[in-house]
Formats: sequence, structure tokens, C-alpha cells
Amino acid sequence: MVSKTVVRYVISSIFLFIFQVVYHQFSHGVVSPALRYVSIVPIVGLIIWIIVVNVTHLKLPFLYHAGIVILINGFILQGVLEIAGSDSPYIVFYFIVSFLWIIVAFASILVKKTPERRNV
Amino acid sequence: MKRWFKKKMAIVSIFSLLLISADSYVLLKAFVLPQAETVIASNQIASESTTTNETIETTEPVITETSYTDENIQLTIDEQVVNNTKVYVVDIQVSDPSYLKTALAQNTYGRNIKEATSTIAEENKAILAINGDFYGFRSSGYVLRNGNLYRESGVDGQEDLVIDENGDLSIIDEGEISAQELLDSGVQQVLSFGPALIENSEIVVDTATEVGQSMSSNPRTAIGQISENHYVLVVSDGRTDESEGLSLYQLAEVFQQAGATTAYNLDGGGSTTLYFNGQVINTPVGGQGSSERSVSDIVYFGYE
Repeated sequence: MVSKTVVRYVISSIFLFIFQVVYHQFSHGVVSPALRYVSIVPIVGLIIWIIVVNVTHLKLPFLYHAGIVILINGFILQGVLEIAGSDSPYIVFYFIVSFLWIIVAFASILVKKTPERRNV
Repeated sequence: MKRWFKKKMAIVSIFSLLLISADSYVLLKAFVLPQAETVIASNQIASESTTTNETIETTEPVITETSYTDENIQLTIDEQVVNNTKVYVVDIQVSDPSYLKTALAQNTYGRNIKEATSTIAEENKAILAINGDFYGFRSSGYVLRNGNLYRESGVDGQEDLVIDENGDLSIIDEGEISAQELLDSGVQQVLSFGPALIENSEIVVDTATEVGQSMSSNPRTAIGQISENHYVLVVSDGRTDESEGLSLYQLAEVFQQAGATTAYNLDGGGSTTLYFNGQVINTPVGGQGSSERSVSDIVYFGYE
């Protein structure tokens, strides 16, 4: 049986792909690589999640999924700003926070003594 | 189980709320909230030019729908059709480079401080004006206007248009010279958008070159120089049923045909506006209703 996490990640990726296609239709030909390829992020996130689950038999905590959401959010904002011809000094913080949360999520499963059984 | 679910929902809700708040803040700072800033440094040439301008008195100009003539400024607007696009080619000759000026929206430097090109032009009694580089939409790129340095954060590889104290146009790379060095050398204006279209009378963009790596035809605004105190502005419509728009290469070809030795692309798309003698001449596609987008700055010819 496919887990809820897999379904959520795959649906997110499909939604992001459709979103970027529609958004680029109205961008007057301006292309943002950040937005164009944002749908890859949940797929990569899912692959990492599956590897971790299969190798360690531990579930990554909410912090990991939140980090992926922040990363996707950062890419979407960067894409919107790029297409508008603008920028923001704050976008980098999305990437920093996202990576920090993901690292903390990995660290948290390393220090766990017993594996969790429930699916996050 | 119920308690755990409630706790999880609370965490997800707080996380979502924080994320939405952060997004709102970033977007508001980028697009809405005005942030006025001050001059970093200034050079003396600007104030000398201003003093000179104030003493000039002109005779009554001869103005038609497509031309303006007085003893200091002569301009003609030639309407052409290029690539199914209405293109306005403005040929301008001035007796002194100080008649080529720039102005800021609300006479204030800062992000999200905007006015329509026609409004800024009217406030400065411009004879003819075009939109500038919309510096306030970005957080980097030199901003040097009328001898005042406002922003010195540059990006390596970013081509800027420099207008020196003699009114001559040239192209620089922000990675190769600092804004302070430009100011110290007497430069009056630096516009940071690009790319350069013509250098040494040669087209320097190819058919694949585009703003934002796109390949679209769009409304365009650009400025070039033919010879000493002799300029050419090109404004093209686009994104309408009547006008397809120009690629950067097609825009460069228009400049080459006009005899430009240097030409530079300014902010285009919805910002593209050509103002002459109290009226907007082109068909802007930038806003709602009047369709004229509010921008940060203009380039204009005038006495004030």
C-alpha cells in the first residue's frame, strides 16, 4: 500500500508542475528557472525520504516536511519575483531556514535510540 | 489519539500562518511598501549644469504633433511599422548636453516610490520623456542620476548605460568599475537595465539575446546616440492586436538604421511609455484603465 506521504509528495509535484506551466503562460515570454523546475523539489524530497525510511527504518519528523515546504515556497517566490523583473534580499533566508530544518530533521533521527513506527 | 491529532494540527496551523506571514512581508516589501532612501554622494558638475540651465531663456518653440523646435532643442518623431509593430523613432538634437536629464518619481529615491511616466514628465516640464530603468523594482544595480549617487551595489556582468558630463553615451560593466569611480569621473547618469544594443556602431546582441532569458517580442524603450548632442530614442508598442512587439535584435536593427553609434535597452514591457508635449504617444500596456504603469524614473529632454 502506498503511504500518505508518497501520495502527498506526488500530488504536490503535479500541482507545482501545472502551476508553473499556467504561470509561465502569462509571463510574456519571461522564464524563471526557479519556478520552471520547482516541481522537482518534492520528488527529490520524496526520494530522500524513501531512502532514509528504507535504510534506517526511521521516519523523518515534521521538521523535514516543513523544510521541503519552505524550500518550495522560496523557489516559487523567487520565480514570481524573477518573472516580474524584481528581486528580494529575503529569499535567501527561505533556503537557509529550509536547509537548517532539514539538517535538524536528519540529526534528530540519528540521535533516536528506537525507531518510530508511525508514518509522519 | 485525538489529543495527538489536535497537537499536530496546531503545529501545522502555526507553521502555515508563519509561512504566509513571511511570504506576505516579502511580497509587500518587493512590490508595495515605499522605502525612501538618501543620496550617498554627489558631484559638483550636476549643480553647475543646473545653474546654467536656470539662466537659459528660450524663444517661443514651434510645436507640431510630431516635432518640437526651438533654438536649443530640435526633435522629430517618426512612426514606423517594423515586424507588425508600431515603432516610434525620435531624433533629437540639443545645443547643450544638460538638456538630457533624468527624474525620479515624487522627486524621491527609493524602492516602490512610483508615478506614471507622464506624471513625472509633467512635474519636470519635460518636452519629451520615456520611462527609465525602473531601478526601484530591484535591490541592486547602480543608480546615479543628475550627478547624485543613490545606489552603488553592482552585479558583475551587468551592463549599464553611462551618460557623461559631455552628454556622451557609453556602456560599462558593473564588475569592472565602481559607482564611486564613475561619479568621481564626472558621470551624470547611470541607467542599469540593458543589455547594450549597439556599441561602436555595431549590433552587440544576437537573435537569442533577451531580458530574462526569454525569446519574446515585447514593448520596448531604448536610447541611443548618433553623434555629439544628437540622440535617438526608440519606443515600440507590443502585446496588442495591432503590435506584436520587437525582439532585442530587431530593436538594435532599428537603431543601426537610424545611425546610432551606441544604444541601450531600458525597462520595457508594461513600463514602455513615450510622452511628448503633454501627451502619451504610444500605447502602454502596463496598468489598468489608463494602461500606463507607474515607474521609478524617467529620461527626458527639457529645461527644468
